[in-house]
Amino acid sequence: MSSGRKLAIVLGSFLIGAICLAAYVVIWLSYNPETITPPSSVNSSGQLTTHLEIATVGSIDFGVHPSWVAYLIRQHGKWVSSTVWELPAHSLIKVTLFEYDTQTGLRNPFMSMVRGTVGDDMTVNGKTVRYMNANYPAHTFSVPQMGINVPLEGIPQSTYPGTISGNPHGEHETITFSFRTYDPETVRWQCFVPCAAGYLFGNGGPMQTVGYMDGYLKIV
Amino acid sequence: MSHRRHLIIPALIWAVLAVVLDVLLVLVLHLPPGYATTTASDQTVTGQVFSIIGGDIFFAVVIFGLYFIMQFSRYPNRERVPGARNNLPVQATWLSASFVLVMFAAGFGVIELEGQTSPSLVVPASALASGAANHPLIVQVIAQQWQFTYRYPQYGGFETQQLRIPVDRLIQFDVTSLDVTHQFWAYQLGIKLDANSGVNNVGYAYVLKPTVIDVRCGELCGLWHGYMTDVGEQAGKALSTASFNSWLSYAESYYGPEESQLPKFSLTYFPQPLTY
Amino acid sequence: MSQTAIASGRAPVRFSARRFFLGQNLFTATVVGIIAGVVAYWIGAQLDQTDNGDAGILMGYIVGAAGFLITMGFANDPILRLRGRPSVSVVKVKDAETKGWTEFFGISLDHKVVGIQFAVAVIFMFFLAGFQAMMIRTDLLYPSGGPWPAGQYTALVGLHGLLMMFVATLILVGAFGNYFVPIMIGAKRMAFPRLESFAFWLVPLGAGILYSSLLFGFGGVFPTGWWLYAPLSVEARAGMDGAIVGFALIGIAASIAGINLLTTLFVMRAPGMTWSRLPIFAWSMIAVEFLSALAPPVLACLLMMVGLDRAVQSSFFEASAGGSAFLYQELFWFFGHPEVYIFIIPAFGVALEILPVFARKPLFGYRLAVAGMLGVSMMSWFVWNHHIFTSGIAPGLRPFFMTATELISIPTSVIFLNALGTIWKSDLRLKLPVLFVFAMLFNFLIGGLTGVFLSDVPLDVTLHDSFFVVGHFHYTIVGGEIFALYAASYFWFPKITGKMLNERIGKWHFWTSFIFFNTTFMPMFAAGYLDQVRRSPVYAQDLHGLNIWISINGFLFGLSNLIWLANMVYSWVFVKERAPVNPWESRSLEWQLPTPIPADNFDRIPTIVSGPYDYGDPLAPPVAEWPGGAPLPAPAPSF
Repeated sequence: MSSGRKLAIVLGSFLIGAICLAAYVVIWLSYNPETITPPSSVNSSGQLTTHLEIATVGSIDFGVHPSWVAYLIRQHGKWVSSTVWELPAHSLIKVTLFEYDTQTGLRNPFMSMVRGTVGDDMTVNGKTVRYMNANYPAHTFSVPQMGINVPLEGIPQSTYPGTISGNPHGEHETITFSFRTYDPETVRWQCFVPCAAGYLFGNGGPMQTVGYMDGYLKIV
Repeated sequence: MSHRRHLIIPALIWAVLAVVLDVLLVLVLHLPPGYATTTASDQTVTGQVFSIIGGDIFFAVVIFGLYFIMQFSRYPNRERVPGARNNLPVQATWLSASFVLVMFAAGFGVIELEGQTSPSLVVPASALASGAANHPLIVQVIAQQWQFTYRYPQYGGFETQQLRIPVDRLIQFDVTSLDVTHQFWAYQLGIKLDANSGVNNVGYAYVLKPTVIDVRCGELCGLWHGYMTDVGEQAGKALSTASFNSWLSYAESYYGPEESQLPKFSLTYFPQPLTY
Repeated sequence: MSQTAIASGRAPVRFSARRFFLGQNLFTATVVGIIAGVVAYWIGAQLDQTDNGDAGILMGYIVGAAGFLITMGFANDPILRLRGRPSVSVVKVKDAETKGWTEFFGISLDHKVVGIQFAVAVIFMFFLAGFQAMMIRTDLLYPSGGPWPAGQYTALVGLHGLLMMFVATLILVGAFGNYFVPIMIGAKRMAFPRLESFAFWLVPLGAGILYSSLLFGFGGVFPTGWWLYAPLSVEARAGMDGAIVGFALIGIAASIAGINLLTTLFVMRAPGMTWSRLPIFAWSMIAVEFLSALAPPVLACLLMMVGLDRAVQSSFFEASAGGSAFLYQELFWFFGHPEVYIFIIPAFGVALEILPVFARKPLFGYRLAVAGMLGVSMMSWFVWNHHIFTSGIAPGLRPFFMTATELISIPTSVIFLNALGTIWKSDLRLKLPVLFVFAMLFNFLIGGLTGVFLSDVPLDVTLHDSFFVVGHFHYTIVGGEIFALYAASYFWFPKITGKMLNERIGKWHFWTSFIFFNTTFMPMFAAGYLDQVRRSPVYAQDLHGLNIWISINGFLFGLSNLIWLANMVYSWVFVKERAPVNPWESRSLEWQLPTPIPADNFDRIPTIVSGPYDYGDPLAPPVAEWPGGAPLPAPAPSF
């Protein structure tokens, strides 16, 4: 083979290889979950408060995995599929959560106790709750690195679970709780109710995918 | 010309460096995991011993090798006679010395592993002796995707996400998993125990002084494996007996109402759903 | 190229569209494989009673792989034989010039072509997996997670680890073993040439199937690391199936290569090639092939069990349904420990093969070296529990496996005695191949000694699954085997390509790789001791500086590999000057042949009359007697 031909093959291979590697990295980087910043306000005594409105649904009905359970966050009046939320440091975070999914039950009943929130409790449809029957949660909102665990009571099994096609609708429970953020850090949060049908222990699929049942709190 | 000096010179260099290294390892370098428990102390000492042996062997081979390389590349031997293919005394010495070193290391490890003064993976005699004072405090470590929780069966079986243990008492860790394989690594205690589903993996520690306990999961268990830690604010603690007792009172009242929901204490659990 | 063309020795014809689109070649094999896979997936999905779809995916991979291999032409000969026809005789293309580049993209019965196929494919995989290592180290620049979210990080770790395992299993045995072992023993070919080619084609197939897990999204890539531990591997998403099938195929390739080499070495040695005249590299192939032939089938069965758990909900590894997660660990490491000796034993062979050539002195302790390698090979079956000391194994097993693991360091240490004894009173020439051998020995010494730390159970309690282990195995596998690969490439490149690798670039490669390798992996021992868990994208803040240092030096080590690649490319393309046929004045048989080595290796098989390591002795007879005259004029010995 002539040297010119060899050179052409080699340079061509390197060029193709470099392009492929660059594309590879770009594709990996492009999957970065969208970060949502909920609105904040400062009250008269200077306390910074952030309002987080979340919904949990039995099936998200759009996107790559329409049948998967998911958390959604309201931003500018619309429900957005994102589980990466940016919260201010040293703030009081007030959460209103609409639980559209049915009761599933906990794998570990220890998670049925509210921990780490202000007052170590929450309200479910206006009623203050600290401990819950371990069969009632449809999901939990848990931030182990901050010691927070909130079991989210689901609608009874006999009721048709809420779904969305852009808008959650149907029967739901309204849950409120608050917690505090401190120094800037990034922590992860997850759900402790194994609700992924078709996976061993119910813990595969959406339970292990950021954007569905897991996410990050970026405290800045 | 005698080639014996090509053995003496590197041997002398090695002797000096070995002494320096040994002194450094014993006096200056503080090897982890430290001295918070008898187990951790023994591991620290073993680490020093192995570092000394390993370091001395390393320097011996490297110094002799480098010397030979430099010597015989600069002043090559061109005697034009067949070089030695064998030297039975040298080979026998090498094999014997390696055997002795290896058996020393193995013996050291076996004695430490099976020894009663440094429990970790073997039941210490004190745990088997009768009498309430000898009974270890049992802490069940339950691993699940992706948090460790701890049960105290001798105090009603309440469960908590905070690890608290007292000093000056033998602790028995019963580690199990509710799902995939995890690993309970309590760094300062010198304890590492895999959490396998359907298995009760037991280890012991005897804490000598109050300490923070950084707990990490060491076995890849899914998405949040790296985050399955109890560190910082959530870190475990070894407390003085008085502090531990006061924590117990607090915990029994804080977590107590939850106990009725928990399954009866058992060495392993098979919670539902299994769900494929 | 069709078998008929090979048999008749015709030169390859010009491109023919009919042959390209309808014949048996790589293109049609890929197309048929994909179509067969998709059809099988669809059928499997219809039959699947579960929600997870794994049955279809696994069926698709297996049937697709079979379709690929059959369309490539591997079933032609068996079908001929089943029909009662004679087998196509194993006749390679007679004239080296008529080979053509197309032979590298099909089935070749020439072991030298297969060796080059292995080398190119596996080196490509090495750079791809190495690039992923750079991505991992980028993430570890940040203590609380970097550019890749948690799920992507574990995917990267798994892809890097598993692909590097493929590379480490096959690079020395597949490339240099296949290329040089028949020549070294005076044979014209391997014992089973078709199987050799089959073993090669399983490699791009396995790697391709592994990477197809990316089709299921980054969250879908397997989350288990290269161990594929159940039950996490049973729980994982669809991308896990690609890892299972890909790894099993590579295991089968290693097993087949092992059987092939072992048979060749036992039955095809030239007259006079007694066991005591066998080159040490060939002995290392014997030692490794006992492992390579016997260990991967355990893996293949184990992965089949995981596949069944995933697809049809058997419960081999689920405790609540009667299985045991622990069973997976035991079976995996029963394969896994011999596997790591598959990596290092050929590296020993390469090192001891090269050393006497540059020391101009016989190999010191030849029999001891052979005994050491065979001893390591045999003993490696008895130590596997040292990977699972903390898993809750029966307490009585720990002292046994601790002692056995420490004892295996005795035959392993023999290589250092051989090396020191060989360079003692030698006429040492510090050329690049031997420099890399010394670097390999230095690195392996550190790797081996840190292995003794890990073999001690109490120490293992702190160090297991930490970065200490990461440092240890990188020192043994990269520092040991990959540096032996560098040495082998500098040593044998002139014989394979007819060009010398550039000395100046090579010196840059040597110093940058040696220095940056050590500055990257040495601090990992400290990181592991200081509580940094492996496979975790987050670590304690106070280890930030250490990780930045490791990452930057890691990037520089990666660059040094590019220098190596550049040297190979530069020397092959730009250098006009042909290398001497025996630039190192080696006595080994492959260096007594012209470059390029003829298709049949030897016109007539020589008779071996002395061992290959009689350097420095003016009265030593030549290695072989050549009927009809030696292929090359005997060189004036310069010792």
